[in-house]
Amino acid sequence: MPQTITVPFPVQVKPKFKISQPQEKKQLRVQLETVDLHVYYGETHAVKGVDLPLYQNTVTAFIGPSGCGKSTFLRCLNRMNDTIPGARVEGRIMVEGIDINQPVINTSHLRRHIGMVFQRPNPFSKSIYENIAFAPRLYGASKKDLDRIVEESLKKVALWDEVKDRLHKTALALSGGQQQRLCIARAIAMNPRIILLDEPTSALDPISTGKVEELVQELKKDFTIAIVSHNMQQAARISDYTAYFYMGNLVEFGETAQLFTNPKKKETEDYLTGRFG
Amino acid sequence: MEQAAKAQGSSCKESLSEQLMKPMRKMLIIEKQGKIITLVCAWVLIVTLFSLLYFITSKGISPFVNNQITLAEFFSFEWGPTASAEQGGPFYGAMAFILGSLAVTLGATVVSAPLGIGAAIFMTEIAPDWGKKILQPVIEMLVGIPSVVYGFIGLTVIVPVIRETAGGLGFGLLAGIIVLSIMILPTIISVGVDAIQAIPRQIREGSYALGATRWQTVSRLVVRAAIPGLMTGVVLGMARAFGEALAVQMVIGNSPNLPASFIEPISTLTSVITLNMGNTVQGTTYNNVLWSMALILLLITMLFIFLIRFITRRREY
Repeated sequence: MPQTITVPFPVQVKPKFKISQPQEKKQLRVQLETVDLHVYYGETHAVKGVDLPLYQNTVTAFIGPSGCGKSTFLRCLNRMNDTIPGARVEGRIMVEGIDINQPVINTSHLRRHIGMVFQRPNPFSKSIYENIAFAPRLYGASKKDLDRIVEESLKKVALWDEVKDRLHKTALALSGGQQQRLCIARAIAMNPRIILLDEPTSALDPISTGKVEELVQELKKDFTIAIVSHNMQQAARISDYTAYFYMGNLVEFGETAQLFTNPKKKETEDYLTGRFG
Repeated sequence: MEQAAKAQGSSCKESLSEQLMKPMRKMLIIEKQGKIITLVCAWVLIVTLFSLLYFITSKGISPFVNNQITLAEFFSFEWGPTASAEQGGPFYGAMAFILGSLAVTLGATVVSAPLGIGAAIFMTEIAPDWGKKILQPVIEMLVGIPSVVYGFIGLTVIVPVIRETAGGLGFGLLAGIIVLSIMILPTIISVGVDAIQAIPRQIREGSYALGATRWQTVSRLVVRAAIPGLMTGVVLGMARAFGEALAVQMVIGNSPNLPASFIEPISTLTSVITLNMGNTVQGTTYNNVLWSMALILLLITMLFIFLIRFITRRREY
């Protein structure tokens, strides 16, 4: 976990964000890269030519005002936009030398490798155990494997101690924060390469939010993480890289410390200081 | 101040305290009126229902209370209301009809539950666009066709086909099952469609995001979560099938046989009641026994309704 320090902001920037420090450069490897990515919803041009890398074992935050295309962009990365009628994605999304934005790509297998967690916790109306076992079972995991996967996944999200006595009770009885951590456990049960988090804390209270943020820091040791956030402090706290979206364009992308303290673009600075719009 | 009062009309010339202290009589009258009108509607309904229940129950239990027949006789298999005393009669055993009703209901459910649930899944999950465009109007039309028309079609199309292919008279359990299963299909489909659509979109998204295919999502999550709603549709269909008289009576054959074969004529509670109600004299044992059958119908239908209540109470989504 990287050290977090309080960085004094330039004069215009009032809030003192805790900003995570960048990791050492030499470890970085590009896990995923988009090249000139466009998304259209019918007539609407929602994402306009975005080039963006996700580095391995880092957290990349997407920030920007509502409707700026950050969630839409995130949903491209595991082809979830395929499920929306009328959505069209153009451009390349390179993962380990393969363009995953091709019709021949098996989206089911793709989504095993690029997991996703949504804004509202969406556990299935099954037991806690079955929620996590759902996806591994689809790919033929044995009973023994399932037990192991469930335990490991729950431990990774720090939920094991809270629920180990009621694994076979319904997941809907959990609190919102627990449900969201269960959904994260469900995503990592498939041992994906990348986890996409679409505003994972916007429906949670501050304490649950804190737990999820801590968890994200833990998870980046094993996974590459992309997170959409409405909350700039959150993005500053937990991410290594930040991408600022506005009106479907990627305005600025850079190391979080640099982007928050010394943005290169005027628009980014305006947004960060609240002088936006 | 004055201008504002003028703008609000003459009624607002009083000061605020005067306004607030004004008795609410006028308003209360309007309130009361609304309350009374709806209350009368509710009470008319309640009184009608309970008097109906009372009437059927009192009529239904009268042959037993008046010692005209015993319960054991009523639940026996021998039916011969016109048999003379030398033959040991008359016999009023209604068991064959109860079993006939149950058999035809069960048969219709077995045929139409899978069909209906399958169609509901198709319409909501597989092809929502054209599935709805074509199936929705078809279902509405099926609901709109009167039962006598179903019976008539059964009589002129289904019965002859059964007669030629399976033998026998063509009238009987099989014909009843076919006609009824078509009749209850719309109920099962439309309730099922509502149940499946009520499953939130996030659940499907969550499943897709884990790498599940559409069919895996539908079969393992959506349909399972919708089971209470789907079962409600099935039970509603069963209740309808159980109570249907006219169409059944036209194709069932109306012989007091046990439902032991698909192609032999049998009878159901409803068909016996509709056929004989007009031909019996009020107050006679025969007439009263028909009321007892109506009571049995009522009780079993109530059972279906309790079943629905039970199923829907345990809904989680």
